[in-house]
Amino acid sequence: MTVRALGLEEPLEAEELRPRIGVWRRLLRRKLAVVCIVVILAIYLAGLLAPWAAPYGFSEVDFDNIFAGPSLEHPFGTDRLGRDMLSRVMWAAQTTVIVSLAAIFTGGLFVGVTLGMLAGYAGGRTDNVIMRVADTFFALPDILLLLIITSTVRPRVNDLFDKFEGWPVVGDWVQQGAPDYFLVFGALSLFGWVGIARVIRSQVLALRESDYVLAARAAGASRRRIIFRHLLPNVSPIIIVALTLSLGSIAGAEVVLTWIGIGIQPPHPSFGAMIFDGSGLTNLRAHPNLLLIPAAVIAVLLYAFNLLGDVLNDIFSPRRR
Amino acid sequence: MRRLVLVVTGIAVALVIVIGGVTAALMTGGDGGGGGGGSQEPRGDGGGCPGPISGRSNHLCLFGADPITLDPALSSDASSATYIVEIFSGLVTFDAADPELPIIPDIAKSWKVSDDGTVYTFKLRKGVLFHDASRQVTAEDFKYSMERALDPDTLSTVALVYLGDIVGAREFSEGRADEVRGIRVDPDDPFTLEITIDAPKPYFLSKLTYPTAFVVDRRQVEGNPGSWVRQPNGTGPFRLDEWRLGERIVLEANERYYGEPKPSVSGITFLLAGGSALVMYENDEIDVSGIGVNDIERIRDPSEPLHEEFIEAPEMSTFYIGFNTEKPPFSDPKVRRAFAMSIDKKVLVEKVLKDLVLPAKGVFPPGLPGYNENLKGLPFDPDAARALLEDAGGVDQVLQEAGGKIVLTTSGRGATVGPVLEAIKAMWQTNLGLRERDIKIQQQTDFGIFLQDLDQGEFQMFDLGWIADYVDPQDFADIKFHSDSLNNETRYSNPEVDDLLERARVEQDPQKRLRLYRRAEEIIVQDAPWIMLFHSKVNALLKPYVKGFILAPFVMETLRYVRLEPQ
Repeated sequence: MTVRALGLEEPLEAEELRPRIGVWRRLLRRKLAVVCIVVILAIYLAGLLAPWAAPYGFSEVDFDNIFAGPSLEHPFGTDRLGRDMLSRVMWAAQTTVIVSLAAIFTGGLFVGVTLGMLAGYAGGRTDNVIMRVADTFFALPDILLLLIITSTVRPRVNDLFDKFEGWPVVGDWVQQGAPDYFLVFGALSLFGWVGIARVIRSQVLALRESDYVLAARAAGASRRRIIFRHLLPNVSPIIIVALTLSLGSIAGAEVVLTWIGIGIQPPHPSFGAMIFDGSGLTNLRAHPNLLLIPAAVIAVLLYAFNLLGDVLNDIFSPRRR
Repeated sequence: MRRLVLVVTGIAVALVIVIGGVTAALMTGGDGGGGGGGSQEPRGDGGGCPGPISGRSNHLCLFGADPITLDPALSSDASSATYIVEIFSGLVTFDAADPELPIIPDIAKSWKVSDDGTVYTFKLRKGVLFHDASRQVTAEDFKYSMERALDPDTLSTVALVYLGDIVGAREFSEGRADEVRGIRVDPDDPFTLEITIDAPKPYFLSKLTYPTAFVVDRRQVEGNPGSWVRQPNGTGPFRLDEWRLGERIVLEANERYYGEPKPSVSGITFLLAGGSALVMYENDEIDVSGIGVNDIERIRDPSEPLHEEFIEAPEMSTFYIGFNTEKPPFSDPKVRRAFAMSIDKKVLVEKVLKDLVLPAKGVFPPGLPGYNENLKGLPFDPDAARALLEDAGGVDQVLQEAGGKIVLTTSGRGATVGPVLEAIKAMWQTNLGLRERDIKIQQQTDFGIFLQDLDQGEFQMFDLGWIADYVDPQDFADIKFHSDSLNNETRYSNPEVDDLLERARVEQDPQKRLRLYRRAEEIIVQDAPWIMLFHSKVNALLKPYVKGFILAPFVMETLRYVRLEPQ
């Protein structure tokens, strides 16, 4: 949900934030980090390659094979309509990838970083306005607002997208349910930027007063040059850690929204929908694979993101190095 | 500095206390706000439900659904009626203990029908008390209750359906009369009620078993029009002890009940939430549980210990997908037939629903007079279905007329719709050559709003069921398919069917009458305003210590027959 860059609230010393060579190497030296990266990559790849690699379509029913247990043909079994669970898990991973990346790039990266830098560097009234808006978003219970937004705006978004029907490419996306994805990641982005903007602002506030920025300004560097050449590289570690952590939380938020019934709409698979279908005690007893497999996959993914975020935080944070 | 901190902390603490106090006051205030019935405080423990039988004092624990209303005049759905029939009562009722379900006296102790079959004279029992024992029921109360149901201000969508045969009911419900002429209290005897109907209709007496003809307490309704229904003062075998929305409904035996047998259990708790009924049943926390698709195969297995407690019985119901026959593309019977013929009911019933239900061919369920075993329903035939669709203008035109996509509205919530609709959607896609996106299944969370929208004709297509109100084909055919019926939510209109139904209403020869209904059914099946899907069954588990539990084929008052006999 809201992106909170944990453990990064305290401003770091400017000198220690210079871009460091060897971050990758240090990251790869940690076994935990490697495991996390492998897990994340595996799930993301499975999702991205689902259209080609999935053995069946996500809504391909087979009434003769309802509730089949795991077998060679269906390694994860089949669901109540005989749909292959492995394929559905892969397609659900694709939904997760699309929604979380889109939300990160719009909400976290684009809006969050821009507004954070702007607030920190410009200061004064701009800062005040941006941060008060951020406070407002932060103070409101986001799950409730997400509920309201997705349930009320949906018809309008659908109407908007219906206009594109028949267009090349875009029309195909609309056919495949793009409005849903758009709505869900749009709503998530709306809240995703607050945490990251706050952290970046506090960093920029400190960096703005540092000697090298002063020197750059004295040498006549333009505002744009200062922001992009001097400030941005120095806050990039924070951005990376915050984004990693929020990739996980956004994926989780999508699952929750879909589980409630206002996220991704069927038949497009999502872990939320699969967990909804498989839940219930009688279901769990009769066909545990239907609940446990999708739940395990999404849980592992979220866990991996959190651990990786922690490791990154350790690496970048000088005090714990 | 220190002082400032102290002041701020002080203010914060004060705020917490104030806000907390106000919230608490509001919450408790809201809880007690039901008032008006004058009955005593609920015990508040749900009679020991959910919990083992040993911890209860002769109290039955069931699983239930939230009612939309407990006002008999408004009752239009089965889950509301389940409670209403136990709390209220009317002139006549069904003998639930007799499989033939004959109509027997209830508050009326006897009745006479005039020779021309239009005037019913009821003699009421004396000494029938309302739950609060404040007074006894007279014929005047019945006149009031039925007129109240028909009153346009009551906003009942069903009163005319069940009471519309009474002379003057229609004028009254349209505000053109001050009273219903056909309901008359004998001026010399307050316990004699005379009801005149517009034509000799053999099924009329059955209609008086429906909640719209039940008696309500005028003093309570007029004294507390807003919320009397939260603590209704009825006359039935049970009185409402507690109703916590979405949590539980507790009924308590009415010790002054006039009928025989009197309720044997001291109370009944319906749990409206709380997880899986079957799991609670297996933990000995409730006494009856339905069985779903996931468990039915396990329980059918004779080696399973629970198999001993498995009970099964038919219900008089038909589940269907209805079309709005006034809106294109489904105003064209060919399109409707195409959609009907592309559903493989055999797969649906056997594979998806594991034989929990029976496949349906026609309107009437088995057991209902008029049911036609040899009816030729619409067959499953994808090729013919595609040809029909082509004939109607082709897929693209159908989609265009539907506004881009076909929308089926269902009531429910959550991430996905049930397996039945998902399977049907898949069948339409495969068999009619529709794309994934061409069919949308829309969920409406609130069943009450779903029914409202349905009445307004908002839906293209909807899925619903109809369970009998009484044992007569009129209840299905006339109510759902006559073009003047208020309950004809498909807006189906066929003059030939109307004519058959009108003749059947007054036909006195039972055999001829059934033939008329069968003929009407055949036409309806071909016109396909409904896609008949299946007839439901009771599939349940019943604890061995529960005796006399009646598996009625539709909603009727049965719970006073239940006895608890723990070893």
